Amino acid sequence: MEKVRSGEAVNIKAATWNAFVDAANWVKDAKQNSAANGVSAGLDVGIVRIKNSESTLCPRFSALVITGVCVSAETNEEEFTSCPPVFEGLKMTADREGKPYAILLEPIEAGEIGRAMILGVTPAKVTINSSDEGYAVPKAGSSEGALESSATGTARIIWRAGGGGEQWCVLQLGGAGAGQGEDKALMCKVGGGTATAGYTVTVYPNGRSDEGGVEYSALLFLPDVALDADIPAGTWIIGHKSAMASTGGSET
Amino acid sequence: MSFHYVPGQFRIPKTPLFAMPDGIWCGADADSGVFAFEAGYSWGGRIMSRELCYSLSIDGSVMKPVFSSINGYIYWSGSGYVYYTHTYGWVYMSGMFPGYEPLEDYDSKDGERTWTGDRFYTFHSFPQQSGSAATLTPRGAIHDSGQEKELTVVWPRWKAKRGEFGEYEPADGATGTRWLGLPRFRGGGEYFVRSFAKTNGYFTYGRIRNADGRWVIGEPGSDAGWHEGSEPSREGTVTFRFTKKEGSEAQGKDIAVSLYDHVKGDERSKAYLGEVAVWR
Repeated sequence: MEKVRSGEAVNIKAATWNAFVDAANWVKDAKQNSAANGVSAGLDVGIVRIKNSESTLCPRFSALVITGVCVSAETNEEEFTSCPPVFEGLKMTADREGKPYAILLEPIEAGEIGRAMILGVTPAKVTINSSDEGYAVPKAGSSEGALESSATGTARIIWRAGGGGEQWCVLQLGGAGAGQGEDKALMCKVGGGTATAGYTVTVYPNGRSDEGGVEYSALLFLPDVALDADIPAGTWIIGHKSAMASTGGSET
Repeated sequence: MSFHYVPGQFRIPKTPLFAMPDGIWCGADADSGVFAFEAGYSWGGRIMSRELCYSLSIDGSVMKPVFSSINGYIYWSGSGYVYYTHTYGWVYMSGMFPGYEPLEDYDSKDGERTWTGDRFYTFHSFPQQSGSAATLTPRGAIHDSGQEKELTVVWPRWKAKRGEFGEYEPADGATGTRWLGLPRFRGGGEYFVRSFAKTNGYFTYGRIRNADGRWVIGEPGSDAGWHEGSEPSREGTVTFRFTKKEGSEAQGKDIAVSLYDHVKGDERSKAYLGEVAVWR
C-alpha cells in the first residue's frame, strides 16, 4: 500500500481496499469483545478455575467433581455474567457419580483456587481395570481424586503407557463418550434384596462372559413384578441405567 | 438420601379395600424399610408404612398378608388362615392349608338339626376402616356350639396431614412423626429450600448456608452487608440479623425464617431398572 499526496489522484487497488476492510472488521470485533471483557479475558478454552472445597490438598492431574459455582447469578449477577466462573470442586463419591468433573492442571490446597481442564487434551494417571475399557472416570471414594478406566464416560483414553494397573494416559475430555453405553442393556447378577427394597446386583458391562473381569455394584429395581416374587441370588437380569427421583425424609 | 421413587407397579392378587399404587417412595438411611404411597380413601389417602398391605386381627391375634393367590385373592396367615373360598366366600379356618374348601352338613332327626363338618368361620365383608369390626360366624361342626368372633383390620402407618409432601402423623399403633420431602422455609418474601444432601457436613437452604461455622445469607464482609442467624428448623422461627462492616452505611432489615411447607425437589439418584421374564 502506498500513501498519496494532497492533490494526487486516488487510485485504490483491490488488495488495498480489502486491507482496509480487514482492519475495520478487526476494530469492530475488538469493540464487541470488550463488552464481555471479563469472560474473554479468562483462561484458554476448556480451562477453568476451580476451588478445592475438600479439606486436603488435591494433587495435579487428579479429578474434582464440579458441585457448583463460587459466585452464582443469585448472589451477584454482574460478577456472574462478566467474570470467568470459578467452580466449586469435591471428590467423587457414589452420590456424585455421573456429575461433571475437571482434571486439575496444578496442585490445589484445601480451600484454594487453581486451574483445571474440562475440555481438551491432558495427561493423567489412570488405573486400567481392563484393556478393553477406553474411557476414564473419577474413582468413587478416592481420597486423592484418582481416575480409573471404564467402558463408558466422557473422557476418552487416546493413549496409555501400559495395559494394566496405574498408567500415564492422555485423555480427551469433553463429550468423548457421548452416546456411548449409558442407555445400553447391561448384564446384572442378583446378590440379594427384595422386590420392594430393590436388589443389590453386580453389573458386568462387558457381558455375562466377563465374570471376574470388569464389574461394579449397583441397586436394581424391577418395575413390574409380583410383590412376593423375590428373585433369588445368582439370577441374571438385564438392567438399564436410570435416574430416579429422590427426596428428603425424616432425617435431621 | 431418604426416599427414592420406584416407578413400578407391584403385582398382587385382588385385595379387599386396597389397590397397589403405581410407584412407591422407598425409604433409605433413617427411613430404611418405610414406604410412602397412596393407599386409598379407606386408609387416609397418602400414607407411610413398613407394610404394603393391612393385617387382620382376630381375638387379638394378628394375621399377616400373604401375596399369593387363593381363588384370586390374597390371604392372611397367623393363628390359622383367612382366605377366599368358592363355596362360602371369606372364611377363617385353622388346621388346613388355605385353599381348602371347608365342609358343612347337618343331620335332621325329630325336627332338630345336628351340624357336622369342619370347624370354621365365615364373614361377608371386611371392616371399612380401622376401629370397626366384622363378625365371624361359626360354621360346620361349631355352627351351634361356637362363639362368634370379631375381625378387625390393623395397619400401623403414618397418615399425611396435608398433601403428599410434609408431615405424616401416626395411626393404628405407629409412633412418632415422619416427614416426606424437602422442607421449604420462608422469610422476607423469599423461599429457602433445604438441599437434599449435606456438603462438608451441612445442608444449604437456598441462599442460607454455613460459612466457616456461621449461618449466613449473603457474603460475610461484603460492603452491602449480610445476615447472620442459625440453621433453619422445622420447629420455630430463626431470625437472621442484618450485619455490616464497621463504619459501613449499608442498611437492611432482619429476616425471620420459618417452615412454610415441604416440596419434592429435583434430586435424582442413579439406579438400574431390570427386565425379568417372571411375574405371577
